[in-house]
Amino acid sequence: MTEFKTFLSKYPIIIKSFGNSMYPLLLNGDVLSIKKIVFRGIKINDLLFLKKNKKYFTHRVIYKRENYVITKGDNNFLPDGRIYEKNILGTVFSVERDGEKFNPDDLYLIQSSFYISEILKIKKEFEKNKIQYVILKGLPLHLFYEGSHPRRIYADCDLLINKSKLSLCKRLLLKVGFKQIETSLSNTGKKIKNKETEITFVKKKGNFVISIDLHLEAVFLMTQMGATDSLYPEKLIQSFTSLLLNESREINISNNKLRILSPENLLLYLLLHLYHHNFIGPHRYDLIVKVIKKEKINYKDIADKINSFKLINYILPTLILLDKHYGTDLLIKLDLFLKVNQKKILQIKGLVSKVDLFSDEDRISAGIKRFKLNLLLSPNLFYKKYRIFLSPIIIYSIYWTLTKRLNSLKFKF
Amino acid sequence: MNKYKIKKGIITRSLQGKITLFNGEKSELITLNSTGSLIFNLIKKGYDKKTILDKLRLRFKNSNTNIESDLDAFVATLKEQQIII
Repeated sequence: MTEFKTFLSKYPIIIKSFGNSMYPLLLNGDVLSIKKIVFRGIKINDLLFLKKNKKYFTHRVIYKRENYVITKGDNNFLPDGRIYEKNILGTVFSVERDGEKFNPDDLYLIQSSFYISEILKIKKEFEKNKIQYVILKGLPLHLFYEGSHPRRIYADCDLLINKSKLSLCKRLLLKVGFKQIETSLSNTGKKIKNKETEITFVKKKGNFVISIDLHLEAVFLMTQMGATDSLYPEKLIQSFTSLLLNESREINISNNKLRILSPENLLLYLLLHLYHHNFIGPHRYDLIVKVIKKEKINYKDIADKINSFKLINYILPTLILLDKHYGTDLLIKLDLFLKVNQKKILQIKGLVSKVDLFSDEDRISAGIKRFKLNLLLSPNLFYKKYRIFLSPIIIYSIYWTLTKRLNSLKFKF
Repeated sequence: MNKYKIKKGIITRSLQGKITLFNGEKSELITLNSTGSLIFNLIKKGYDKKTILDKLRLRFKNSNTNIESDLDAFVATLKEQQIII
């Protein structure tokens, strides 16, 4: 936890940052200037200086309700619980490091400026070479739906391409200065994996790493598993991918036209994306809420797709969580057209009652949980889905996970 | 009709009426004052020079400054910075 020593008692408060709970945004030793803020003026992603349980710390707002917020350190797995007005001492407006002052919002602007310029370069090359692509998520969606860049340091931008053009896409990304990086569990895992679903490319710009994930299909199960026919029909993944590519639209971003998913497909994809992240991440829910607010959504179209692509088990938990925490009434809007019985809703409600959407997980724990969810929520019959344990990559992944866990235990003792 | 065009890919942030933008070519962070921000927003909306001048004259009707020359100087700076083309 980042703790602070207060140097002054009047506003602006000048404090020194200790610890790494806000890494990489705030570093140990940074000097923070804090100004007063009224509760109603607090926005998601504001950095608040807080006092709770006799501890001082500066963390990010990740969720806001009428009389409390939830904050979390960017580098922490767990949130700080409910923070009330009485706990809030102010908000960070300036950071001093090595004699230089900056506003954290400037860093977000710089990162986004680098990102958009690289996305535009890629888009230009793709269009010149007639490559069909669509942006699944990332900066362009924020610019379109929020009218501004994300007020946080973010990870990547995801593009879906027609996989028959993969070699050409790789060449074009290399041409504009990107490097392909390896994201497989290991070399062995890479050899055993029977299908590539996404490839990551990176490029260093200033102090930021621009990361582009090239998706070869609309993957929402586990990227490390390759083909997963025993859990979800492969042919449905392929036709869902074609649907996303073919039903795209153009939006105008920073004087440029970019292709994103149709409103209905976007909502569907973002719901599936939350499943892919074990229903965790308030920023993912925030984006869904903004899409719902801005677009005139054809809910019948979404429900038809959920039914025909057998996605209800994957979508339902997020719908319940959205309604519970964000009051979207999505379940009611979709319920008219969905074929879901009350028993299933109750079962899923039981499952999501254990979900803490504000907590993060380490990669291995997240992978284990995702695999369990894949087994539990697969639309396939029992005998078919358990055939997944005969898949070489699954056997290897279990071995790899156990080895990593044992090694970490050895390290602890 | 003299129309200005903001370079593709310029992202801005607005705080207390002041626009901040990052010029990636020069790795410079630029914060415009409130008048500069007003002009930048008018350019962003796609207005031509005459309309921008009309709006500025209306906004600063009691001012003795030469609005047109101030606008030209501001635009020249943005062009030099490669923010508008």
